[in-house]
Amino acid sequence: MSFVNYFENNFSEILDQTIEHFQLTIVALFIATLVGSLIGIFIARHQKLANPILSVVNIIQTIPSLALLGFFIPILGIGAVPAIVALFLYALLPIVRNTYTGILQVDPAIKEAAIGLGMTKSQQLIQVELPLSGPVILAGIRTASVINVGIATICALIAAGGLGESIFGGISLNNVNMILSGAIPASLMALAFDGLLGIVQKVSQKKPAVPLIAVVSIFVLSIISVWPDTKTDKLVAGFNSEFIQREDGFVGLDKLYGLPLEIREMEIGLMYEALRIGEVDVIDGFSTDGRIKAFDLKLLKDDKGYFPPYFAAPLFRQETLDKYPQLENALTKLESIISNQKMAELNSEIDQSHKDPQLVAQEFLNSIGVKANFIEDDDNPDIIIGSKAFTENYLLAYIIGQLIEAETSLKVSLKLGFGGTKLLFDALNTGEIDCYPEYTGTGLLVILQPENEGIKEILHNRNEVYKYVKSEFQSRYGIKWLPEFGFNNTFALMMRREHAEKLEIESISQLSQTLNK
Amino acid sequence: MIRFEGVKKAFDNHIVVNDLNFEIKKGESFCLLGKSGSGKTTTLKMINKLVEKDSGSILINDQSIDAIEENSLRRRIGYMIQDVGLFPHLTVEKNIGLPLKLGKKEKEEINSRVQELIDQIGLDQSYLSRFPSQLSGGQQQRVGIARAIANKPELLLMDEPFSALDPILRDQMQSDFLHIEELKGITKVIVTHDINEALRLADRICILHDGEILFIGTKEELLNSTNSIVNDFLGTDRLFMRFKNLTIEAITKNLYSETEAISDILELEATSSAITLLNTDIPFVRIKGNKEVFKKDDIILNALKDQI
Repeated sequence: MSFVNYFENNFSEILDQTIEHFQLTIVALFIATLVGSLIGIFIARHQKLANPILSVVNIIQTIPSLALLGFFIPILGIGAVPAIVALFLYALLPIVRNTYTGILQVDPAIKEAAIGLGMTKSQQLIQVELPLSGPVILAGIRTASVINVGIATICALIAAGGLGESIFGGISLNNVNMILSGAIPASLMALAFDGLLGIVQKVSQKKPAVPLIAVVSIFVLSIISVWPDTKTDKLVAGFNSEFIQREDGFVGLDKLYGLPLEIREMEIGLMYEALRIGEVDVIDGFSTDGRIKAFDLKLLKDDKGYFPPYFAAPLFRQETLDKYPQLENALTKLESIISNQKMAELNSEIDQSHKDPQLVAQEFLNSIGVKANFIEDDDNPDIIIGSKAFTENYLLAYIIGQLIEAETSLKVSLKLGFGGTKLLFDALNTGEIDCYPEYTGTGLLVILQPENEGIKEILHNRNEVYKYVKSEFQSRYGIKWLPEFGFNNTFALMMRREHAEKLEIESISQLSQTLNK
Repeated sequence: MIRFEGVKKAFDNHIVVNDLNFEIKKGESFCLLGKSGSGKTTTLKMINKLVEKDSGSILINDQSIDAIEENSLRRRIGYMIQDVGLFPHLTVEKNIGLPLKLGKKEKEEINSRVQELIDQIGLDQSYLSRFPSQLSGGQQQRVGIARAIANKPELLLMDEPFSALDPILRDQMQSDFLHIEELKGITKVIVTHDINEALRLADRICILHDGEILFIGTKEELLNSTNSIVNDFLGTDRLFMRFKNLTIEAITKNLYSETEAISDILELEATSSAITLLNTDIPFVRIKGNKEVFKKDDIILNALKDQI
């Protein structure tokens, strides 16, 4: 399907996302302009405070956006509010800094003339300093707007909507058209903001920006007033974009069970916290996640056997295995060694006890009689191991790496935290990395995406799936599935235990009954 | 009009102005002359409270400025600085009208006053809609003057008003300044480091040095002062200063009747070492007011020099 077709078919959704994106950006930008310019004026008047305040604003800018959003969940929950707060904070720096420098760069002779004419402080500010620093302040707002349009994409990961839904959905589904349908409107919006504010900036050099600011304020206030109310009586689900979009994710699940949930799109690592604090009621977690126990979550039984098996195993380039024949032998030590419960424990040690994943990996290997050590960075590694961006996959990568170094003389280097199956698999396929831990179900449904009907027959059979992906990967890509670790980290719907018990929900069928009452 | 009584000012323990006592008369043009660091600008700025004095009192029309709120004080006093400080985002009309607007004057009143002022400073009506960046340096200066006197202040403070201009333009501006009708009634306090400017613009001159008054008096008194510190201050320019203020008459002498007549006023060019008379072939000259007539040649002029 061409991009144009995709765009036409999904136009109303893209339009909705664009509007959401614009709302997030403009509201945050407006508040940041108000607050930022006030802070800028304040520190221009109290210069002793300028450096400390600018440093704080600067530091905010260096916090990774996803980390900041995650930090907000316990305080502000999910959705538009924390997204706007985060965007506001990112927009502050350029506005504060430019207001400050803008006011300071006003010619001292002009300031002296203003004072000499008997202008009060506020008259000086409104009639002289602000109009003269207007273009510089506007340049700051312009920078902030472009930053905001960019960061607003990430807000899709905390259910704030926007064009990030298409972008992240597209990345997880490897759907280029979908990525473009988010990325192109986002770029155009950034350009439009930049261009529009550029014009305002030019005009304001001749005329004071006050009337324009007034117009913008009215505009923004009207937008805030039509801001959708997101309160709902329904049960709210927090799903990641991959799960929402995929045929074998929620789409199929809904067909099978019938689940009229109110869905919020969220980043996978942030869902558990959102569930714990009650921002959402159901999430699509992983059955071995360490937080299930720690947060006292209830796994809903997949009583109709919908979710395919996701048994983890190391995935290697055949080329690498041929080059270092000792590898395969060494890795047999990991065959069927980790149970579901063990994996959940190991994950919990990292997520809840905050132990170093390297240490957890080392202790685990020691417990099975391997004298493992921490992996040091090496400039000329023999093997490069990759991982996805969640705890279990990090840990598995460390375990594989430490085992290789303990059992062979090969040097290992790690490239951890790839943001999506497709990116990671492409890295493996092109030889950028030699190995990463993958799950059989993902290999089948995300990478191979077989379209023949026969696949449904084997979809719920653990051994058949393993056999199928092993032979297909070997023949198609020259990539080998080594023996499985032993645990099945499948998707699972989960709820807060007390909530599930109160509603008397044990299984997905019961959830469906509750929802359809 | 203005009286300084024991005024002192120090910045970080460094005394800038020490115990100033003097009076500026109503309507006069009063120059504060001094080198940089002499305290002349500080003295000026204490009058409109741009600089807060440490002790002593400054009285305007016998009222202490301490009793007047600073912004209302400043609105009563015209103020002009070296860089003019026109507001670049406002038109000439808005710039000139601003003090009136701050004084909450009616729109019509502001308009007619602005018209009046633009005429006085010799600019065309079409300049009203221009921005300062579209004016020449001299035009900006004139607009600056118009703005400073828009409120019809009794007092105008000028801090190195023409120092940033090139010599030819400065000369022109000084001349224009002397001819603006409205300025004639206003008491003017002018800060300058340029003795020529002081001699040209001032009725009385006050020389400041290290925060103290070296001399205070009219320009004639200054040029004739025998005070050694003043001499030092004037330095080698003194001869030039004094000649410049003399009028040399060319004399036609009738040798038979011993009568004489003034035939011309001569231009005189003097440096610190030599004096030359220009534009004449008449052989006799005389300093105006003197009896003695000299033959015009360098020797005689040297004698002239001794005379003064």
